[in-house]
Amino acid sequence: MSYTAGARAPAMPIISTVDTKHAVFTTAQTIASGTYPTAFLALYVPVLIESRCIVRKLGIANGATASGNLDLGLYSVDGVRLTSAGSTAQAGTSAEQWLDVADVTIQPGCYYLAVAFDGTTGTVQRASLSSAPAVAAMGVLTQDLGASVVLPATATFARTHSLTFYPTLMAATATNW
Amino acid sequence: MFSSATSRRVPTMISAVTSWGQMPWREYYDYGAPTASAFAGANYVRFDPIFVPAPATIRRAWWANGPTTTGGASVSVALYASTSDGVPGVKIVECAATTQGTASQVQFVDIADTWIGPGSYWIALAVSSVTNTTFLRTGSSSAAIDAVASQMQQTGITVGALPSPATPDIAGGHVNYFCGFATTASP
Repeated sequence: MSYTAGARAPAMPIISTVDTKHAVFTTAQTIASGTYPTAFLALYVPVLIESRCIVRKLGIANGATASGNLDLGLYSVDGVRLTSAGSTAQAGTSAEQWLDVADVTIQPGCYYLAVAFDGTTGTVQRASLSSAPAVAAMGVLTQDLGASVVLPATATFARTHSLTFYPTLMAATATNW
Repeated sequence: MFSSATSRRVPTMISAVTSWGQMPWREYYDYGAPTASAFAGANYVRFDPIFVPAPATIRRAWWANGPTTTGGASVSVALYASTSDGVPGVKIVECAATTQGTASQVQFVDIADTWIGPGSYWIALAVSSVTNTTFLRTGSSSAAIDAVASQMQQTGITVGALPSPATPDIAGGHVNYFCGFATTASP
């Protein structure tokens, strides 16, 4: 009888806010295109990482309209920015948009995938949980960035109870994604 | 860059409706969207199972208020150990009985920081009244889900002084209230 150990690597090359392996969000809701809720509002969406991995790219599932600039980031549970893309034009509709970031190795734990937009015209594939405070109860946190779309080096977390917008955000561990 | 210092393999909001919940959320798509409704009963506690895969420290109890809270119900959330039979047993921690506050907000109540190891637990939500008091919840009318949901209940309890050990019965009707514990002190 032979024995083959599983690879000590992520089971999937993508970590996302909507896959059952990583998402804290557990309600089976429809994902559809929706406008970003508030300009310069950062959203921090928790994901659970089960094994050590290297995050090489960050991504977002764009909706039917692309507009303005966005930023994507990865944060520790304590609010430290581990990597981010910087202000980038939203590009592509109804498709994934991937941004190169400085590679970061992360250990198993709870992290936040973060996004901010500089307007409310651009759209994102998102779940809309119209009964507040469902999104806040899932652990999604926020931050008013003032007039900047750039995600901060250290997050100042807040909880927006009225938030109904749950975005589809991703991180890629594969070199060729 | 390498990061490891502050990571904890636990969600910030532990509940039956987040990733450690044992409810069949992901397997069935006939769950309704979260909605608000009156609680299941007065002086009543409902137990939802969770499985904790990694050590965690819980710091606050929480529940999600619906749009009507004028009834001023008294509410508490508790954590129970699971017995060898797999039902709620000894109470580990319970927040103080607290008047239901702002509508449509997550309401937090501090508890003594409590370390819990890996294993099975039950989250209990207790409410004193069903008049003009609503909570966010979801659920299903599916008999199949009801059969596997493993929810339990106990009546005639005192909010803020829940029994230990519990003597629960099987709960009918599959409803998950949004409640649980936070591993963070804020926000």
